[in-house]
Amino acid sequence: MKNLVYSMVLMMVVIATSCTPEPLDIDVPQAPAKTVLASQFYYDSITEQNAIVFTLSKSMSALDGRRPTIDSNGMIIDHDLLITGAQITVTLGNEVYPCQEGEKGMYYAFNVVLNNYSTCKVEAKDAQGKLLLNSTTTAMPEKNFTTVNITKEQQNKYLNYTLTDNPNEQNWYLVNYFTKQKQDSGSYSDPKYIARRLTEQKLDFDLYTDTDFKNGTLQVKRFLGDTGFDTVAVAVSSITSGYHAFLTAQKKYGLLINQIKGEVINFPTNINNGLGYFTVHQPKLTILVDED
Amino acid sequence: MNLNKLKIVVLLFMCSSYLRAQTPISGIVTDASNGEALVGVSIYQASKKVGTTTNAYGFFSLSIPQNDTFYVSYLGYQTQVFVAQNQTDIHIKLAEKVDELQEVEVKAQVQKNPRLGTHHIDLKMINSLPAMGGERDLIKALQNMPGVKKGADGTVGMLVRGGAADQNLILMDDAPVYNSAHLLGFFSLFNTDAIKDATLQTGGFTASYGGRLSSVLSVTMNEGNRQKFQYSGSVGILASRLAAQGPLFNGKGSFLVAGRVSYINKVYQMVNKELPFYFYDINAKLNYQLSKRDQLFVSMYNGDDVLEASDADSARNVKVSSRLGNQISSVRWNRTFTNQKMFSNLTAFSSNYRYFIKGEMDENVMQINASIADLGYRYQLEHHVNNNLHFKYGSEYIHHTFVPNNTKLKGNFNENIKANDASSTQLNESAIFATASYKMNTRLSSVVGLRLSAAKVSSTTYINPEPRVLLNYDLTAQHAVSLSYSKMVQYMFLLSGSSVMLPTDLWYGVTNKIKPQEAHVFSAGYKWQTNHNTSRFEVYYKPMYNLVEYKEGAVELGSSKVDEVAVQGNGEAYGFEWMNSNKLGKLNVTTAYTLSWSTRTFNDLNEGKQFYARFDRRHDFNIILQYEINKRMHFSALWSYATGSRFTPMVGQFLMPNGNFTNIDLLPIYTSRNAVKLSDSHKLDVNLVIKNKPGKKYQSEWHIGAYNVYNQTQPYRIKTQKNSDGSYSYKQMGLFGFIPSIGYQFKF
Repeated sequence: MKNLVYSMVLMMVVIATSCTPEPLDIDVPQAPAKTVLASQFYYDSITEQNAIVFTLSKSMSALDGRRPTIDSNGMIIDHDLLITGAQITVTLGNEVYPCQEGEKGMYYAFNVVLNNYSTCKVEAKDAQGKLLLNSTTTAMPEKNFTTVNITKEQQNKYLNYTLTDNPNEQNWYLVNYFTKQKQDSGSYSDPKYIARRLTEQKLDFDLYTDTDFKNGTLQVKRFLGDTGFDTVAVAVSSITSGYHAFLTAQKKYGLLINQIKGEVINFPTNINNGLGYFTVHQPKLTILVDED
Repeated sequence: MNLNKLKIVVLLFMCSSYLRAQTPISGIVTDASNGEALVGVSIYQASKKVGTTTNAYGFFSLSIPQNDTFYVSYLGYQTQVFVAQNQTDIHIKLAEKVDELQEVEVKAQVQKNPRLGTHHIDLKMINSLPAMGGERDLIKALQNMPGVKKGADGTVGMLVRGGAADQNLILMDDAPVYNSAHLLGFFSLFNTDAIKDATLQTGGFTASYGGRLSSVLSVTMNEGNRQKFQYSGSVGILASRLAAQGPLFNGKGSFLVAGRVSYINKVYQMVNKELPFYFYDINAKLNYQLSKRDQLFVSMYNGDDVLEASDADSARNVKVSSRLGNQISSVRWNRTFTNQKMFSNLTAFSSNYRYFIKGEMDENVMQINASIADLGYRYQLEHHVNNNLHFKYGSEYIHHTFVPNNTKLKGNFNENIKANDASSTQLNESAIFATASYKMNTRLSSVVGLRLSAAKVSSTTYINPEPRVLLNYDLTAQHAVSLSYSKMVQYMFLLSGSSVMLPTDLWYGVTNKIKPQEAHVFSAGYKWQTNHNTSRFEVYYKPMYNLVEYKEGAVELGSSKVDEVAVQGNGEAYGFEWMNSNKLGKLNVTTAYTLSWSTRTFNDLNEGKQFYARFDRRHDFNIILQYEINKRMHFSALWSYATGSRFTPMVGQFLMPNGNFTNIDLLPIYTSRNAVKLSDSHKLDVNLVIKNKPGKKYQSEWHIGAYNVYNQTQPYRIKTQKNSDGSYSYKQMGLFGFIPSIGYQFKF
């Protein structure tokens, strides 16, 4: 017993005197800065005008502590990273569309004529005319839901949609949906914030391939919760396999657990001499109003 | 009849006379103090240079001329001399040498390590080695052997000859062990109070074992004292042990029960820190002599790691709990046949490794469970035809059941977290094997074997012949060279992340799409031994095929479909190993050095380009000093040096709108896979053992030691860290610094 008491006392001393080793410095060469391109096709059903919207930015060092500053509309207002004064041209078939520069590194090619499965090319040069990047993709056709609605079970609302697919074609789909959000402030170091994002935020997208369809049909029921919204915007797009792969990686990486435990990945790209992804797909938007 | 013919007739007559006069000697060798069978005891007739060693159950069989003397010797025991007189079923009891233990240690060690690529672990050495937190550990001791690399600092990961952590077949009394670690890998599940013997093969494999590419670690548990009741235990800063053993059935049997529990959670509480994690394990073994020729052993192990955490400050009822562990049992039946030249062992075993994780927040509950469960048998017949020719034949069968990532959700979750009612998958693995050990002459001997293995999964059956060859040539009594070749096939694999290995990594079997892993292990060795010194040099080359890794960007959370997340490729490992044991008076010096390379090439990883394995370390060097200050005090020190392992850090980032174009994600840019070498690491560990006065019934030892004496960082990963001026820089993180320890052991 005497020895046991000695041991317990000594244990306390030992724990108290343990040390944590000092981290060691290491020099790791950084990836060279590259131009990053993102694109989206936009259609205004009221004015019946369309545009392909591009954002152009620079990649940065992993040791660059700057984080993007986003305004209430989800736009970047971090000007250092955005490339302004660039010249972007889009070629759709035989038509060439020079882009107009908007604010904050955004460029617009207005009223383009899209032919399904036609080749689309983009080229970006800097203000001095030096080629920054180029890329080629395929204009994807419009796709609509077979059925789409909101249902209510007890206090919770659900988004339901059905898609049909031609089994003789290889297709990849993107479904976006939005609801009115609660005020969403916090940081990733706050577990409550993470939990809220996991359980309450309803601003998401789903990705599908042919293997998700059974007998040419896909039925999906998405939980929306009871978060005080009355309107849901939902859009479906047919996308290329490459963009599907890019979004799949981006979606997985968005989960905190995957940033810790998931495998490292260098994101796929179809940009020559750059990063990001060039896509021309046509989201088909449906607005659902919950009468309750 | 001419003169030459006459010479031949006379020679044949002499030979036949010699053969007629051969007397079969067989039996078992046990420890006189407790009746435990001794493994690897040398029985030899010195004048004819004929000898053998006891097998894993203490059995031997030898033929020598009648009335010749033969010797029985073993590490740390008094050598006994007998006269051969047609003795069968003899029971030799060896008594420990108290005063001259150190004198014979090196020599005996040499006799016990005759095979290329085989390391017999001296358990007494483990007890005196320095250890983190004072906890002696079998696998950490093995990490000091050449060819064996550790994973992260302080953990029991074992990477052998460029292989992965799942390429080691770990057996506890012949039953497979799937997770040999406690507390995230900082302790192994082997309780040193319960271990009798351990042997690690890293090359020159016999056909008796297979199913893994890189090594076979066979651990035999203590059988229990047949002479008297005995109690032992220890109290340390992280865990305590207690064991009881004694005779049963009027000395026809014995038992052992050994338990261990950690209280690191309580210790942290004392210093106002939180580490809500603890483990416990229990070993039990029973043996009974059914008849003079039959012996029955029953072994059991049960251990769990338990995590119970909750956020007391949270209004949202946040709780996380997990339980993971092994349940292992085996029943073994030994039989010595009436001709005394045959010995058989039949083992039936079960092994179950499972984990269960439960997370709760408000009314939302997520439960994940996964397991691998084995049921099988192993039969081996040893046939001692004569002193020059031995056979081993046998078969084994294992039925594996895998339950990967069964996920249940209650409440509301993000769509990325999906419920998954994963059904179990089955894999039937079987093998037949035969080995012939043949001494061609006094210098040249061979061990040639063939293992025919098969695995059946759903509609696919894989069949693989696995030849094994080992040649040994004694240049002189002190110098020997060896060559070996082994083909190894592995039908199951553990999918671990490329940066972090966790106990929740999942075991899978081969599928119709994922093919068995294969390796061809070539090695050559040279051994030089004297009474006080042994040196071993080995070189190896090991191409590996169909290795399995996660896809880039793969995520295991909620996934049970291994075909969707895994890719296959090839690997190559080669190196040079040196080990030297030297006795200088009261000082024993053991040094081990490994120079090695290990690379991988996967079409689907790193753009198809070759890359280094995560734990590719060019140099590994360990030196162990053990000094007997006096009969009651023993000092030891371990200094180790290793080239840094590999890492894939983030070296850039870019902004990209999300799929909704409503927000911006910051996406990473990484280096090519494992492109950055971490800094080299080195550390010094020391331990002082102080025993009470010898001869007392109550024996006790104080162990006072320190881990990482000069607090050197052993880097295992790179992270970006914000500096005080707001800038960021890369830092290499280590896990453990200077950790003093004190422990108390007792036996009575």
